[in-house]
Formats: sequence, structure tokens, C-alpha cells
Amino acid sequence: MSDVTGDSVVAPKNRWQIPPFILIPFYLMAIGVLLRYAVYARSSGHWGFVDYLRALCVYDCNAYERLALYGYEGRPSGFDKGDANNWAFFPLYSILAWAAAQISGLSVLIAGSILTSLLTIAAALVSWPLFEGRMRAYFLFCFFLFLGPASYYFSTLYTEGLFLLLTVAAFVLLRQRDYMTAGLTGAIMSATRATGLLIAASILIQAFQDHLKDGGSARGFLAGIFKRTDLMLAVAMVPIGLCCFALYMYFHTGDALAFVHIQRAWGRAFQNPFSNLWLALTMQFKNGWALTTITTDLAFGLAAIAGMALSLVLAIRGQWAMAVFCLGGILLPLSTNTYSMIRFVAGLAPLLIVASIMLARWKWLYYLTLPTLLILDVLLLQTWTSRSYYLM
Amino acid sequence: MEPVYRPRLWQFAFAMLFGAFALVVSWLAFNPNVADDYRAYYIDRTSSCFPRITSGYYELGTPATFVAGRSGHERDTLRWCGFIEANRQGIRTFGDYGILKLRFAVPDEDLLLSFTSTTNAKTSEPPRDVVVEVNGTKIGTVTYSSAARVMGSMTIPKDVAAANTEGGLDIRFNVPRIGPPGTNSEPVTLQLRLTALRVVVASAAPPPPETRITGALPKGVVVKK
Repeated sequence: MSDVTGDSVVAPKNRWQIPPFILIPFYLMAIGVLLRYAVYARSSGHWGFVDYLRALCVYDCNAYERLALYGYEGRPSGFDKGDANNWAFFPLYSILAWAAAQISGLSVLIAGSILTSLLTIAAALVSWPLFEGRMRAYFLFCFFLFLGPASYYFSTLYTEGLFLLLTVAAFVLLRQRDYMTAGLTGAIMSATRATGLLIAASILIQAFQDHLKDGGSARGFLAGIFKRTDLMLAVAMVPIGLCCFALYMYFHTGDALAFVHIQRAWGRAFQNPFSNLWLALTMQFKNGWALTTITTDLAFGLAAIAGMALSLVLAIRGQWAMAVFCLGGILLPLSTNTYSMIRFVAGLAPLLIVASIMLARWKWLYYLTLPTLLILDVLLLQTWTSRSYYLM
Repeated sequence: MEPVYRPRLWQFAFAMLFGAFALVVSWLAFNPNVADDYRAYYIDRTSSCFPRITSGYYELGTPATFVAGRSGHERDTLRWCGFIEANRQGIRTFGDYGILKLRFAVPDEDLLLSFTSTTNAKTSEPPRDVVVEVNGTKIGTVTYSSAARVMGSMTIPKDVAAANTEGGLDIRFNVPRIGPPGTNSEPVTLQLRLTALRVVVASAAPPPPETRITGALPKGVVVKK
């Protein structure tokens, strides 16, 4: 009887349907772009879509655009101190944006914006296995990417979309015990951002955990590590992207670590990350407990703490490969200073995934989070386009 | 029961190849082939500014303005290292020192350096000394105890003026550190703002404005008051 009245009458069994997890990122991306464009047009009075894309393209977006257009610059002369140029920016994303522009015939700004959105959609799709069927958490994750307060990073010329895709791809591959392809992904990651190197540690940790799952011991893993040529190759592949960039820098500037040294223009120098964190957290209160505003230092410090707390959650859940990757992804930039920490935390896929899983666990919290993210996305649009230090 | 793994030669060979590539790049990373000014600023961090490429063109005796919007400021040929570009308050130092490069045919006479400046010194804090060096030789110290304008005026002996092998003057203003490093790791230093500067032949110089100059001067240096 149920066959007569049930869904099978309305939808024939052999009808092919696109699974919801595929449709969700596309829908949310489209809604996000239209919503932000509408807010921009309403608040600025400019209706040009390219104007909107240009308005979104602030801070590093300009650097990646210039890099795609003109390549790496010569002697540093940028910023007010005359010591900056674009050597700090890793090449892969700009190469892809340049290629997208060449193939499509569009400007780098438009092609790059489309590319970032597509890369973020791909990241969402690839991440699906990591949610283990938790549709609500997956929807929240996608909602955050396309309609959350960090959506700007995933819709303009920033590396976040590409890095997110590569990160989830690497962890899905590690889940499948495909260490070598994960290592190859790591090579691409290290050509995108310096923190891509951290995937090497994740490969080893995941292999160790898998070894234990298979009935092996810690001692046996260490004793047999020299027989694990698959792991050797996987780990050896990870730095290739960064090494190629360093080699290019050596021939371009004479300094293979120019991309590290140029960070002085951004006030970055290697120090104890925890003393940097303490300095950022206490800076605002040096002259009394002023809490009428939150300084960028404090905001960045709080973002770092939130990121470390989520890394701890990953560790508690036994996801050590992700935990170490994320903790390193926070501590590495934190060891120079706290600038851009909100963006760095928002760009660490495992943190977003575990946060989504936690927030989607209770329905009331889930339904509270969705409108909160949406409101922040709309409210922060003008903050972003006016080049706020908080979001940079 | 321990899992058994079978090593593969091709994996090992490629791992060694990539490892060797990483070693070569590491060697290059530790042996940079760079200019001294780049090494000092970016690698060793012994210098607090990275020099601009500038001609240093200066016509002896003419006043140079550093205030944006005033005639001549846009040439910006003198600001060499450690000064942020001109705005309506002039040019401002950002590190331990700021250096102006003046290139001209140096006469065989004493010169007179005069400049107009302000700082972010506060009356509630101790006075701050700014040491002025020309071609590596200290020629005077100016003390700032408030944000008020200070007119600096000091003589450059002819042997000091002639000491520059490129012909001209490198005028360096050493500013004191006034606070511990912030979150950007750079020390907090006094901000010296220059709005104008002039170098004239001392014998043809107009009477300089009154200025307070303190500190021991090198032998032979005369400060006109």
C-alpha cells in the first residue's frame, strides 16, 4: 500500500537526482553573491557588478591581482616605509587567476573572483566525506563559506578558497590512506601558503594512527619507518611547491627566503608565539580596563585562542592529524605577530568543519547560528570594503 | 600483530631525489647573494630602514621643503632612509634614525645646516635628545621636550663636509627609543618630523634662528646661537 501513496509514485525509482550535498554549495554561493551585491548596490548607489567586485578587492586581493598581472616586483619600495613589495605572496593562486583570465578573456579581477568562488564550491563538495553524513553540519559549513562573515575571503582574490580545497582534499585522501596523493596535494599546498608544509606532519600522524588501528604498536611503527617508502615519498613531496618558489626567489632576488624576509615590511619577526599572544591580549589594557572598544590586537588574540581551542577539540576527538595541522597553522603566523589572525583561523578547514559539527549538534543552536552568520555577513560588508584592519 | 609493509625502490628513489632538491634549496636559503643594504635591513636586521633609490639632488643654499603641497616637495630627492614620505606635517622618522642624502659640489668652506622640526615628545615625559651626524661625524644634539617647533642650526666643518666620497652630505638624525617593542617587534622610537631644511656656505649664511642645542660637540664644531 505504501508504494501507491508513497514518494515512489511521485518520483520514479530510476529518475536521476542530483544529491543535495552537491546542490547546496551552488545555491548558497549564488544567494551569497546576489545578497552582497544587493547590499553593496543599495548602500553605495553603484549598480555595476564590476564595481562591486572591485570594492570587494581590498588588501591582499590587490597584491594577488598585481602579481597575476605583472609578476614579482623588483627592489622593495612599497608602503610608507618603502620596504614592501609582493614577494610575500605565494605564486600558485595568482598563476591560476592569470590562467583563468587568459582562457576566459576576462580581466584578472573578474576571472579571479569567479575562480575563487568555484574553488570554494569545490572545497565544499570535496569536504563532504569528512562530515560522515551529517547534513546539518555540512549545510552550516557551506553557509559559513558563502553567507558568513568570512565570505569575502572566499569570493575575491584571496588564497583562502584554494587552500581550503587543497586542505580538505588532503584530509579526505588521508582518510582513504592514500598518503602519496596527500603528499602531492601537500606540494601544491606549499606553493599556495607556507602553512601548507604542515600537512607533512599530518601525513605522519595519520599513518601512525592507521598503523595502530591495524593492530600495530608505536614501537613497531618507529622500527619499521625506514620500510615505509610510501611515507618517505609523501613527506618528501610536500616541500616541493615551497622549494620551487624559493628557487625562483633566489634567481629573482638573490635571496631564496625573500618571501620570509620581506615580512619585515608587515612588522613580522619570529618570536615566541605565546608571548606575542599575551602582548596582543594585554595591549589594550595597559592603561586601564578600557572595554568600550575591542582593538585589532585583542580581536586577533581572541581569534587565535578560539582557533587553538577548536584544535584542542579536534585532538579530543582523536583527529590528531587535523589538530596538529590547525595548531601549527595558528602558531606559525602567531610566531611573527597576530595580524590577520581572524582570516588565518577562518581559512583552516578542519576548524570550520569541527565548529560546524559542534554548532549543528543542537537544533536550537543551529537555527540561532544561521541568521547570526547572515546578519554578520551583511553588516560587515561595508566594514570589509572600507578596508577594516579587523578583517584583513 | 604488526602490519607488514613492502618498501618500493621507485618510491625511495623519488623521495631521495626530492630530498636532495630540498637540500640544494636549503643551501641557497642559507647563502643569499644580496646587496649589503638588503642584508642589513631584511636578514640581519641591523639597520632600521631600507634605503630608497634617490638622486640626492640638491642645490646648495636653497631651502628644501618636506611639506606636501608646497612648491618643490614633490621632487622628494633628499629623503633616503628612515623617513616616511611627505604629508602636511612634513617627513617623519620611523626607526632608530632617518637619513637625508644631499648631493652637490661641496665647497672648501664650513657649511651651515638649518632645519625646522617637531617631534611627538611630551612635556610630561623626559626631554628627548636627537643626535645629528653628517657624513658619519656627530655635529650636534637637539633636545625636544614638547611637541613645539624647534629650529635646528649647526655648523658643518669643511673637513666633515668633504668626507663623503660621493660628494655631498649624508645627514643622519639619530632618534632615541622611547618604549619597548610593540606587537610588530620594532622598537618604539621618537618621531622626528622635518618640515624644511637648508644648507648654506657658513660665511654667506644669514643669522640663524635661536635654537636650543645640547650635548658635547666634537672639537672644532661651533654652534651659533
